[in-house]
Amino acid sequence: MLPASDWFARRISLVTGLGSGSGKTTFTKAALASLHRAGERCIIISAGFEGGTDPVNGVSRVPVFQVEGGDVFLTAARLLPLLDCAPVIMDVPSRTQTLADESQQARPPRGMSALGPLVMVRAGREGVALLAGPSRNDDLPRIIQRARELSGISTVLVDGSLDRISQISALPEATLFCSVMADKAGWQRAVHRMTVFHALVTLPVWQQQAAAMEASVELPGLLTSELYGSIAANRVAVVVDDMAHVFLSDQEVLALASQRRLHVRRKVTFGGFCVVLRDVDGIRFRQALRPDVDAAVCCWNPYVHETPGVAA
Amino acid sequence: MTFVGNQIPRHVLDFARVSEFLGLLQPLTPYGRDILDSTGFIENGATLERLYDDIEAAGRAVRTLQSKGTAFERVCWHLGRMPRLPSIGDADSWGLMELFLVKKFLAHCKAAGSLLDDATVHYFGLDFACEGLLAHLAAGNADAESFAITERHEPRLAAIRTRLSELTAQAKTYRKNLESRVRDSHGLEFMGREFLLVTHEKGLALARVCSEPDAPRIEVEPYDERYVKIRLLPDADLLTLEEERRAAREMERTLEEIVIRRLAQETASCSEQIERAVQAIGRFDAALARWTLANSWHMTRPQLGRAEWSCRGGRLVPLALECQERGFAYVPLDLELDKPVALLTGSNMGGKTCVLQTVLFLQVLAQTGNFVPADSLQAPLCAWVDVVGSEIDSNGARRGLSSFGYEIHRLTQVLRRARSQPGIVVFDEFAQTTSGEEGKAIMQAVSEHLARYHAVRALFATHLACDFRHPYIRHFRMAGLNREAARAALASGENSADDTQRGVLSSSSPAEGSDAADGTAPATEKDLTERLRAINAMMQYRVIPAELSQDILRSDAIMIAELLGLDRPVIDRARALLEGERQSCDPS
Repeated sequence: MLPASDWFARRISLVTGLGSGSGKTTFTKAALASLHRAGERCIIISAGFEGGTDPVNGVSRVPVFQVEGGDVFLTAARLLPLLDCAPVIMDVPSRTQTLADESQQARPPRGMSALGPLVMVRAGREGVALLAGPSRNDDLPRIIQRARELSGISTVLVDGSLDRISQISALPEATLFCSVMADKAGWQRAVHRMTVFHALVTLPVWQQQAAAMEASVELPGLLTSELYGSIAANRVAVVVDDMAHVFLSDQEVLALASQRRLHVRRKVTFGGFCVVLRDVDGIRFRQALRPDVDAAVCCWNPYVHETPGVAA
Repeated sequence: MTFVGNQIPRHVLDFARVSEFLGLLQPLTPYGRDILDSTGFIENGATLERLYDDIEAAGRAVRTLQSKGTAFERVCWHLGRMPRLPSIGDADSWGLMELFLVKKFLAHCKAAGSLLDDATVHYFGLDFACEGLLAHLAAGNADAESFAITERHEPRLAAIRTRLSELTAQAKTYRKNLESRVRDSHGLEFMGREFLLVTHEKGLALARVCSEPDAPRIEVEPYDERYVKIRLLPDADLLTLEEERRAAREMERTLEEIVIRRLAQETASCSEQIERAVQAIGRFDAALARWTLANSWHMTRPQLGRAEWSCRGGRLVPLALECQERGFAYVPLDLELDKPVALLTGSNMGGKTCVLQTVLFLQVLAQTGNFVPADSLQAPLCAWVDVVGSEIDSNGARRGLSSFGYEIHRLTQVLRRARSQPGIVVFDEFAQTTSGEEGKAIMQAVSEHLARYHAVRALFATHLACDFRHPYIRHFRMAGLNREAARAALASGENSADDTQRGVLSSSSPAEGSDAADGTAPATEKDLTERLRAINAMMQYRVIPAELSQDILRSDAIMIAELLGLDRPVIDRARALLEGERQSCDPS
């Protein structure tokens, strides 16, 4: 089923994925198609390349989206001649007040993609958009804010980087979606990873008054394996900024959940999982999911005509 | 951008807290930022006077703008929107992005200039001379904030784009019809998706039906054990449409390329005017940033080229702000250095180092083209400024030298410059890291040596007993601790029934065996702040002429230590030792 347009309309949606080929760009395209059907115009941003595309030879791996006239997207200067959507240049973040204040000394430079300077474009008509994303996560909020100001469009789709949930820290107001691809060989691992991811997005928010009630440790930065090992045994609660600050293996996250309470200062808005099954029985897959994780699936393969486990 | 003036040594900037203050400069354009970043320590008086004139001109412009409603805010808005231009030398390889940047810059340049009064425009050279180029770039574009190649740039584009729109619409309608036929016949809804996954059975059924004449053509690909991927295939008519669209798009691209080349060449031919505009905007923006800072901090135009160094109400702004934040009093500096060398003594924590910092702070600001936070500043035009002290390290330049060795090494460099060029040097607790007797001898020798260079101003802050006379050396001291007030405060702290009050002002007198007895219980931050507040209230941060008497030797060190909470037995013992020494020195 195509995801509902009102999941995305007038908000920032960040799509991340568990593993390579998990279908996040496919899901983002499905979201865009849904929004277009509802007559919405969007700001579309791709945040990074999977696996680090070669800037010269990797052009073929640039995300390609079909846009409508009025949509706004981020591309690279060198891709402009390849656009057939009558591009109207709106901003060059590295050279305008969007990011130029900081771009002089910043390393890596701001407002740049793997393909060179980023350019914000409004599509003058329907056509093809080749997307490029900022090399730095911290460019995202300023670029999105500027795109919204310049275009008056409030719907933003961010095709996030693979396994880079750190982007959620840069966009705390975004709704996070997670795409998952499960095939015959790896579906049990996919179930496990969804369980861990769900545990992270549903971490309870730390209530300051609880600090007086139980022994806790509030971490200013990342929770790494090393740091976790050094936390005194009598500390029952561990507090981090948000889920993106948990840098533990899946096993460690689950162990932590069973032995202590992990809290976040800032909660993530989770839109749900988009699951693509390949050679996997839908009923069996859903039975393997914990009920709360299953309930968090917002969309089964958006290109399938029936819902797995429901259709005959 | 050429660097103007000399680089200011890092240790001088750090000591005088200049970078902290200049960080408050907020230019609105990249060109203003470039100018500010490339301004060093300027020796040329005429250049400095021109920069001061610029600040005053910017101030006049602001006042005029402010009398015209929101004109000032609008000028700032336009300045803030100016992008950094690409290199015009590379115009041959330009594309849409570069033309957008040029157009945006010119549009805002023109708009800002149109809001300014004639005198300002003339003064800064902001006359807009790229009218024709801007008109060509902006042709057909809706606003200053965007850029596209339009039919106004190339009339032939109009027909092609109309045709492209028609073909796109036809193709869209064609595809929609195709989709609705599949929906009607098989209940399949594409809803804008490129492909669909359907069950094998449905896929096979579709393939059978679609092989019939006049049925929509589909492509079926394997996907997994359950699904196949189906994609609608264009028929001959749709392919013809697509082909025609591709050809039209190719023609469009060719024409766009021609426009881009033409506009890039036109821009290159206006490079001189653009360069002048960039310089004028940068100069105006830098002056505006300096004026805004000067206006915020009540800064005044310095008078350079004088023999004396004299300031009234000089403020070391970063320190003044710190004091304000902590609720401490800050006393501006009044000081006149009319002789080559000045020696400054006084209480510990009495503000000697702050005087040195303020002197350098004001001089560096003045010689980097800024107004100064002082009621007045008259100063010589220097070729250099420096600071020497055991704690002052120039980016780890000690290279294995001891504190004393490093000071002497730095002193050697300073003396070399003093021989040939006018300058200001401050010495913070010079020669404190060697024996008092030898330190004093070196100090006197250095002072006498520097007193020969009348184009140099050297200011020493010291606790050494420099009780010698010299016609070119002036002695100052900090007014220092109000001892009566301090004694009273300490006494009342001792006698206070209020534990908190006693804890704040009296010396610690911990019980044997307690944590504090072995020094393991440090004073809390709050306690320290309270003690500093008390010292601040009792300290007189004024520079006054010093008599060569016992007065200049007093540092009030024991009393300050007591106020800071040093253990009572240590204070008592120190006092007894000092008293004994004074009695043994007393010839009576």
